[in-house]
Amino acid sequence: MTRQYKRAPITEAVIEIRIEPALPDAVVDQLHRKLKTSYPLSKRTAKVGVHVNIEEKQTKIEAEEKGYRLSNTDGTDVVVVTSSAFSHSRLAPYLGWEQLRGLAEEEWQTWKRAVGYKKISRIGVRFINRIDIPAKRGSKVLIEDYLRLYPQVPENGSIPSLNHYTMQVAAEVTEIEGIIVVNSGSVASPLVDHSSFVLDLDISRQTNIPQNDKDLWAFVETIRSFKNSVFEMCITDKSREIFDS
Amino acid sequence: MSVLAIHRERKNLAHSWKLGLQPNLSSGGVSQDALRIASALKALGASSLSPGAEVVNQQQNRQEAQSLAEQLHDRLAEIKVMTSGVAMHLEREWRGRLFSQLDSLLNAEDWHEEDKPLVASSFRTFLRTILFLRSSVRPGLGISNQGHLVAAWTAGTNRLTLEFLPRDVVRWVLSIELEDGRERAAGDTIVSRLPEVIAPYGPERWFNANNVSSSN
Repeated sequence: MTRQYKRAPITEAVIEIRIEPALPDAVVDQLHRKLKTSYPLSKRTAKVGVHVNIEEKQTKIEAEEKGYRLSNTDGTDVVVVTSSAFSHSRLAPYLGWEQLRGLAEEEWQTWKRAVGYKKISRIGVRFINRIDIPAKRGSKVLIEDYLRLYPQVPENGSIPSLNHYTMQVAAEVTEIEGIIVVNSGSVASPLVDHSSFVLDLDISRQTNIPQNDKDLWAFVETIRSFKNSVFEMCITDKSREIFDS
Repeated sequence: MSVLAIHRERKNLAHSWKLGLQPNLSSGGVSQDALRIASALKALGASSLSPGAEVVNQQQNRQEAQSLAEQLHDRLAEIKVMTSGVAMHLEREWRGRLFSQLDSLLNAEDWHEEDKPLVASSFRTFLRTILFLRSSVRPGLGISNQGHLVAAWTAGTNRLTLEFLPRDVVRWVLSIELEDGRERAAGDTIVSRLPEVIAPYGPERWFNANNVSSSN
């Protein structure tokens, strides 16, 4: 089920591939040099582990995984390469699946030319959507008017209305042999006189992952198709009206 | 029946994952929304960031002393990403022109060491104001000594200047030509009150392209 909206609520779309074993730093540096020709803005990154020894009153900070975050000049297409993962993110405005998949596939080829064969340990497709609902200050917004996945509160009035919510649900999806994680919550709206909710769909597989390109990208298409149907099931017509206004 | 089904699924998941919440369950994400989700979930004991994205987050918190060029470069990248968060509400051409203006404003070659780089929270107020006002006329942009973004609209000899302060505060200064002389007014307000506050001065002359004879 694919539906194009005039104002797609997607704030970020991600395709991520994780590999094992981890790459040496020198190979990550080489990848960075190759990708920098297409993504001129880059920043070295490091995952930092902080170890606190209370008895000896010592704190040790260690860089555990190095990598690079590269982006185009607008900052809308972002590639992250680390020793164990490759991802392509498209931030808003979302220009369509073909563009996202095309770029991710192209960079994956660059990655493979630089690295060679590595076992893929996880493949994930994630879409973060934000629904911006017009709402004057002091007015109430019913979450269920816009989302079909929402927290239920007791009907006895002990919790009269929610100021904020965050929820995460996860389930196995047999048809893709993977899992879906859905995060939803209220967020501070970037618009005046609006309320905003996030609907974050993340679908991934960690076992029996296709290792050749043809099957890999066919599987990514399957995930995307599944994601679209879940998204449509999670929203209401009122949300659709907002996306098409 | 649905309750039973949910219960069974939960048991299966807990069994296969060993734990109810997995710390590294999610695919990467670098947007502001991704970071907000991660932060909210962290408070619940779960996380939604991939190792790659956590890296970026951690790095942002431990930036070392930077050169002016690096600061401007980082700030430009930050405000462009901030703009992308509301890009679905902006015309593509409008956004493109805004980025050209920002590239020019934050050009390191034209920058003086003593000037403060654009304050990100000022730019946030600017974005919220622009989307709230829905002005069809693009303002001229500048940066104050304090690093606040300043937008100016002119229509003939009538001028409106807005300085965007953190936390939705807008400092406004206007000057209009009346039959019996010139009137000037100024004040501080919050974004949501701005249209009301400047309404007596006929703001459509600045914001509506059909009413503007000349503008920046």
